[in-house]
Amino acid sequence: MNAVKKPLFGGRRGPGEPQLRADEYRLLRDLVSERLGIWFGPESRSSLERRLRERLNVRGLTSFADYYQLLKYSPLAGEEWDEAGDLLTTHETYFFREDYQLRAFQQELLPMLAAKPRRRIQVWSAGCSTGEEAYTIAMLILESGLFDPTAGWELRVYGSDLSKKCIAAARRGIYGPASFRATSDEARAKWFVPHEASEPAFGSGGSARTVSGQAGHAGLHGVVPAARTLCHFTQMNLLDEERTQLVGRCDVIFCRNVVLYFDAAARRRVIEMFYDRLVPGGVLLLGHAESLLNVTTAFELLHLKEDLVYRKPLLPSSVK
Amino acid sequence: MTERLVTRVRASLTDGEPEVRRRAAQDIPTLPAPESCELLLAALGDEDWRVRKEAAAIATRVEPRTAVVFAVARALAEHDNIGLRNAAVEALILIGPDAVPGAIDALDRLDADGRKLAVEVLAGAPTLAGMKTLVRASKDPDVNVVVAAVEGLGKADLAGEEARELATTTLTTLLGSEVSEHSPQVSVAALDALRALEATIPWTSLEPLLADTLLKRSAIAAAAGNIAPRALLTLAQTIADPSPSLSREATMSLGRSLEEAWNDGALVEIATKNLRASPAAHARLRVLAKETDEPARGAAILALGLVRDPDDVSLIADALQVDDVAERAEAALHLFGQEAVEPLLVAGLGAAPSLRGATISMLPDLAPSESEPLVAVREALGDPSPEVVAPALKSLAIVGAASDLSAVARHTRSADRKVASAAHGALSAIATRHVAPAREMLAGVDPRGDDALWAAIVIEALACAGSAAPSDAEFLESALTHREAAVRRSAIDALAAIGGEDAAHAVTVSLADEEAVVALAAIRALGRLGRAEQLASLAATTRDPIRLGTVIRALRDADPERAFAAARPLLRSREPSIAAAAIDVVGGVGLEGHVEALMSATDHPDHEVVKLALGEIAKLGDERALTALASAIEHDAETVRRCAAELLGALGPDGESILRARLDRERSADVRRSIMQALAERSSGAT
Repeated sequence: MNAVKKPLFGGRRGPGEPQLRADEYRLLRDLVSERLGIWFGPESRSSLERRLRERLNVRGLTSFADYYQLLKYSPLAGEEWDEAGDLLTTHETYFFREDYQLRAFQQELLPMLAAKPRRRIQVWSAGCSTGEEAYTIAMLILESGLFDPTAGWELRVYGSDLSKKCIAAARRGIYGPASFRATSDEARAKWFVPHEASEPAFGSGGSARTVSGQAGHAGLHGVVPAARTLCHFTQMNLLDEERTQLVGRCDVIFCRNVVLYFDAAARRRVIEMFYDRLVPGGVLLLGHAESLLNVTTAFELLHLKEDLVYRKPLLPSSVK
Repeated sequence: MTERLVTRVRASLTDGEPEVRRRAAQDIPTLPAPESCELLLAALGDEDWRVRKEAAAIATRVEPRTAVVFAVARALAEHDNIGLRNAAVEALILIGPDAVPGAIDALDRLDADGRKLAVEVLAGAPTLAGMKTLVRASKDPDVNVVVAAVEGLGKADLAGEEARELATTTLTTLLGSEVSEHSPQVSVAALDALRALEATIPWTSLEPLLADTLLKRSAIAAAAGNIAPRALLTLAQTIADPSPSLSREATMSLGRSLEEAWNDGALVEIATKNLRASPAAHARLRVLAKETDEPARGAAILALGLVRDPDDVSLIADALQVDDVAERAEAALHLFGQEAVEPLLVAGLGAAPSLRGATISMLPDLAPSESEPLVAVREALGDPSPEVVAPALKSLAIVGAASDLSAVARHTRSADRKVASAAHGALSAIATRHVAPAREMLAGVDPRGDDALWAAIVIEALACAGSAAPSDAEFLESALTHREAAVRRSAIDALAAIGGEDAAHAVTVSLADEEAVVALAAIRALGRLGRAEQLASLAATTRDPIRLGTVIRALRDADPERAFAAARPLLRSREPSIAAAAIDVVGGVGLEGHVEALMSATDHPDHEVVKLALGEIAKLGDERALTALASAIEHDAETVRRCAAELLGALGPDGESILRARLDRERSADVRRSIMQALAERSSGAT
């Protein structure tokens, strides 16, 4: 069980700004869990209060109970969930993150995919934040040289995220220095082009929330067209069954550092949905701190040289 | 038919393909006894981990449960098939409290390996009877069984206060015992278990353990939250230890202790003095303050606040952007006070907007009467990023002067809603403090022009400060026909603040406004204006759920008794939003009969409505609340049972008894988790 952190100041509030009461926290926490799958534990009350307080100001509400009513019952709930979802999710990401897993993808999984009889590869970056992971996957596919589009290969990388703002940033495909913290000079030269700043970029200190950043618009780079062409982005809640059906069948799903924020029920739902979206033999890659232990037994473990991934079994014909 | 099914499952469980066997295991709960039990054991002993895991998961649904428990518990004695043994442990833990008698029964018949597994079951399904057995097992001749039992006692808080006290006493006694002296692993396990129970271990028990290199780290970790002066001294000194892991543990423990001692200057000074005198500790804190690991980073930042080196301000300021450590960063900067202002301004220069905004928002708190921070805040109003402008406006709400009125007013029309809302708040706050200059700036403003929005906000602020002018109502009535909904809404709010018949008459016209936000503001205004008759009439004729909810809430402001009368029949409304609003109103008025009324909503078909009603009833904290929640914890819906569990956890020993009784019968793992969490929180809250 997590210990409840003792508030030192009870959180800073401006004049007249409301406090999140325990009963309001319970209602909002459950509602967020039900709608977005994200779980806030007992230690996270002040965190939820901090993140949502500005929405009360914007909506002119005087209590978190009113905000709950707005999210639950108001005709404005749909647009408000977009804003709340953006504030409640973590956008930490950068190019070529967790390189051991990317090496496993490039050196072991891609050759397996290249041996497929059907010349079509679809990879889904679920919870792609501002798009760095999806573009990285596209770059690795292209770099492998195994899938020549002129030889009939149909390649697609889907990136989805709960946050509309993140998806807008992903579609722009222009990034600042913070996104390149794990990118080699060689990769930078090959896959990015300097960008003249006429619009804000992610990781640059622009208008979108930044992971960390530097001043102004120095050091902006755009993704090269070859990688951009492969990537398609869409805003999506992973618990929205109707929307997730639209992704189609995937060969590989990357969902790294997403389900760890979910409660047990939401985690189960999302993993079952991934199972459904994968082709038989398709592979699911989770973050290094995540596993399917106590979630499902439907996947097989696939031991790669540098990683352990989950594979949807190739069903024998005798199995329903 | 059933026989055919048994035959099919039995055959499938011997198939060569693990996926076929796994799927067959899923069908076992549908089989009759005794075949279900027999095939469950076969699946638990399968060679493939996925089949074993599936079997453990479905074991909770195989009946008859008692027979299943005792059969699976017998598998703990298995020597050859290790997979079966481990799967049996997992299955029994998932079965929960019902498995405890089986595990206790098996304990006396098993060898040391088996006893260790039985102990793991008792730890995984915590009950008072199980914990008492673990106390007995903590004296087992086999040290591995003792360690497992001690680890299990660390979960006693999930079995209630009596179990927790029993475990705490046992573990504390064990620390100084002979068995601990001979087996350091027992001491380490006991320290970890006591920490898990959030038990405060007397420093006199911990200090002797620091001399043992094997135990030092665990002892330092167990000192977290201890506020004995020697504990604070030792923790501060240990941060300078050459071992990074020990230093890190000491930092986290000191962080917890500082939180406990925060309001005791003399205790905090002990840590401060030592940290300032130790360059090695300071250097280590700087490293930890850059980590991504939240507990270590937060503690290091708090400790850096004690050191008060201006060079650390930018490091601390970085943490203002990270939710999980921002509160500690704010606390640390407060320790610097005015000394933090200059380095904070430097840190903000050239930083990302989120950091610039965070630093700007801190300035008024650190030096409210100084001019330099105020200049920086004012300059921030010209920043291109809303992430900087909005905090600057919030800061001006606290420290802004009359000369800021115009600049702030300009931002009320910002396209960014965060900025516009912050400007609204700041303008109101400054106008309330500086009435005369605020009144002056209203001269010549056109009620249908671009400045009408800020003018309406200023008039509302002046009215709230008791400085309304006769011409204000006329201005606002004109503004009610403004082309922009935001202006019309602000004019309504201002009229409500002015009050009177004319204002009420003007506001009534806006009930028909085509913009919902304006019409709802008009309804709320009628409540503030005390128009009970009009609102009661509206309540009787309004059908739109959101509008009706707003009407009865407004009626509560105007006349609680009439609001109660109007809301009561709506508690059973099939429209959840109306029922929810009615619960809010009925719960808020607290009139005679309101409890009975709320009770009637606890069987509403919408579960969210039931939860809302339970939340209001729980606030009573009396026998009626217990009765309602005792009934709700038997509700068909898991979400209602989880809510009831949480609410019962706050209702004292009677609530705990109800929770404990339900825990023994609850089959849903999620609800069980909620009950255990409620019991654990109750237990830690009681200490």
